Amino acid sequence: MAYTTYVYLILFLGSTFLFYTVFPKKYKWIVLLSASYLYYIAASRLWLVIFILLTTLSVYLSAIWLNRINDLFTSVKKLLDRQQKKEFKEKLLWQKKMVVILMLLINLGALVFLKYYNFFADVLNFALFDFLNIHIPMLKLFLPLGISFYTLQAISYVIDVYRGKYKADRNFGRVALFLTFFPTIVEGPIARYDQVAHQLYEGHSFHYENLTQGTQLILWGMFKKIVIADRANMLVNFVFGDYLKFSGISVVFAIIFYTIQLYTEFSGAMDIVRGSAQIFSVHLPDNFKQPFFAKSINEFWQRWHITLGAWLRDYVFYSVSLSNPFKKFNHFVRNHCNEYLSKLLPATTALFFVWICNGLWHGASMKYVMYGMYYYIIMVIGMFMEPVFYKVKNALHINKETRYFHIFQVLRTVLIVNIGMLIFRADTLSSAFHMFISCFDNFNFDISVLAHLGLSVNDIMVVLIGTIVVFIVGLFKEKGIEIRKSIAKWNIVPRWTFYIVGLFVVIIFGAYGRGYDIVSFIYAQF
Amino acid sequence: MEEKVDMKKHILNISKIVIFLSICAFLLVYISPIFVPKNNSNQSGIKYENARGFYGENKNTVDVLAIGNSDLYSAMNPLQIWNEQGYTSYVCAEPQQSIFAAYYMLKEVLTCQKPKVVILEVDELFSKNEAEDIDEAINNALKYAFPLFEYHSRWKDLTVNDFQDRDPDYKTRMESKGYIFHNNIKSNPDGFKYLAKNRNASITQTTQMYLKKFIDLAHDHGAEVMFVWFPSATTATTKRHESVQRLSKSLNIPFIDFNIDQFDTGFDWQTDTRDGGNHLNYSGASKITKFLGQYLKENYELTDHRDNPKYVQWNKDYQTFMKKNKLHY
Repeated sequence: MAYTTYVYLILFLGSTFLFYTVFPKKYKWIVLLSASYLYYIAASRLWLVIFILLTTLSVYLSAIWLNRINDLFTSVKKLLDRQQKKEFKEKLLWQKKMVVILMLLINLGALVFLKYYNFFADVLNFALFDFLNIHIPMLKLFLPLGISFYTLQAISYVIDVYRGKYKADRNFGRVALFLTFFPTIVEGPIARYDQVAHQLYEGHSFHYENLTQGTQLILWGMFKKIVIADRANMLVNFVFGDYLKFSGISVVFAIIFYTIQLYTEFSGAMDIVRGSAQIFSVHLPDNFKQPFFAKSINEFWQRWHITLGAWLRDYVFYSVSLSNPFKKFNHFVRNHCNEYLSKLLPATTALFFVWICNGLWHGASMKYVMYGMYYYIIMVIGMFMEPVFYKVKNALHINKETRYFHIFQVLRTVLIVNIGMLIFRADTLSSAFHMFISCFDNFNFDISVLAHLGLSVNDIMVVLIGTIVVFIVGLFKEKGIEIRKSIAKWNIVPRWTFYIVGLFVVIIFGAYGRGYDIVSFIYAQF
Repeated sequence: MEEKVDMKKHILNISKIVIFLSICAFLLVYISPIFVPKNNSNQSGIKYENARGFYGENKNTVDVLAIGNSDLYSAMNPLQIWNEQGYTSYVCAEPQQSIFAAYYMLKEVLTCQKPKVVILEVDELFSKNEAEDIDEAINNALKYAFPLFEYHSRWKDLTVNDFQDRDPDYKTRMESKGYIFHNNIKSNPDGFKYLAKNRNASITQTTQMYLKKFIDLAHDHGAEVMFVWFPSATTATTKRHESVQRLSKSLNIPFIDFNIDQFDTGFDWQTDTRDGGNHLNYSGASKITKFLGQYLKENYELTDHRDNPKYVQWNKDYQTFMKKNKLHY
């Protein structure tokens, strides 16, 4: 039950909203929880619900266990002297760690086994077969819907309780709803417990503005997904599916179209998701902040899939940085290296774990590992070369604050991101490499080849005009202007005309129905 | 007092929503005719013109109507039935047709034809899951109510004529009467082993609901319904046969399954399929059609029109079909 289907938009979302509206405030959360489980079963297989139930139960109990340990310390500490307090605290800390490790074993264990078992078995077979003559068998495994998303949410909740950010929730329904809320279950955003759990549980009365604004956001998401992304997909599939036949500007176009496709599809999905939640007066965190206006790769990743980046920062980067072995390493570097290295080595080492996790999170294959490493290497080069870049800029008298330099930085980032997208989309690493090289084969600026890449000129025009519209909306956002809010202030006649035109643009120019393939959400596969 | 203000506000807001949706519905009705193809041909924008050739037949002249997916247009040849039995039939089959599309197809056919028998190709009763079926049902209902959803892609081909002349003129006749000729052989070496395969044999509630609507619609127009499953090595199984059998018994609808019983037609998977078992070729269609034509003649009151001058075009179409495909007659 994809978010762009009639069954979701008209029947499921519509009826859930009606039930939510008529139920008493106290029981509204039950409507959302029931709808979320119904969605999960309808979009997946009945028995796969076991995994999300197991996750819910494990994190609920782990968090309460952690609370008990904290409470025990608080109640006993007054009775102990300093030394005893220290010893007791250490003992409890060890217990807390054990609880977290147990929770991680259950949840990460399920994710790693179901998502990565075959990948690691394949790698080990390749590496060890010749030496040990051992063959690890491949398994046919089902991946529970949304496991990559709800597992991260579950872990963040328990670690936050472990770190004392907030107390464990004794309300099982609230924890269950936080993990299964139907708009976020397939593709995120990876929300935090303190951001959404209370909003989901408290129950909101009918709110006209939230209903209309949520619907507008869904329409905007539909425009991005079915007018632009699904149409661009045809050209992308045409070239990537038979890449050996293409070279030069054809490949460049295909890469650019894929970047357009992935951005409009994922950000469009997030608009539909956030719009769906807003109808229930639930405000979800944003996952995108005009990423193609970023001036560096670091900034790009602060604007693209924001909730994943923030999760990796808070639960991988900080966890690695604050771990005892890493502290020792830090100490060693500080004693044995110069200031330049002692500043960069620890940061780049911790970042390595972030990017390997980022790559692997996207998929169980070497391609995704390399995708993560690609960005990691670029960032590390950027960090190590910073003094050199600084000197070059000074020598050439480049003013970093000029508009031209900003445009150069944005274009440079876009170029790097497009190469990353090539790795992401190509079937294998070798095909990505082949396509990259073929960009320089027979290269010329003959854009007429566009008409022979599986998409009619009319369709290409729709993709390009749609992309320009998305760009302009982004440009306004960058300047702090929310077009949606501006339109909301218009008179009813121009305002409704605008909305109706928007709706008919989606209906008429949507790439759906006969002649177009149904394109599954790319991030739903992760 | 505050509650009263709140209630007033709610009523005003709900009224706004109703008015907005009404305007959208009105515009959908108003705009749709612009996008509807003005002729029932491929060039005009009809995707599967073979299935829509019934418009071109003289009004109320089709005796037997068959609705289904690609298995049907590969297996049933109305011109052969005409030549052998003398009554008329038409195949309204589209690739991957669903029961929901079939229901609206039947509704459309009944606007210009009054068949005595309606055959439903039951291969299309097996779908993925309930959610997808509901989606497909809504999709087809929307397309029927607002054809813009079906023909929206015609924005590329719109001409001034589409805006001026809003009424379609569907008169194009299809010589083949919906059958699609294929003469090549790619045998299915495993024969009927496919029947033992383990495929989902349940029929969703939504499909069953639309099946009943389909039958009621046919009955309301005086037509009898019959279920047929043509040989299909890629979808049919014994368990699926049993599911349809149970349904046909409960609905009191006759059911012939050529996968289970070939009725001495001489059907042979070695020679009678064009793609390894998915679809029949002309040889397979001839054998199956021969039996089906005879069966219908024996079990329903169908008139032989071969000597009726009103049906002379059918004789011409038969000859053209045979000549065009270099077949002996």
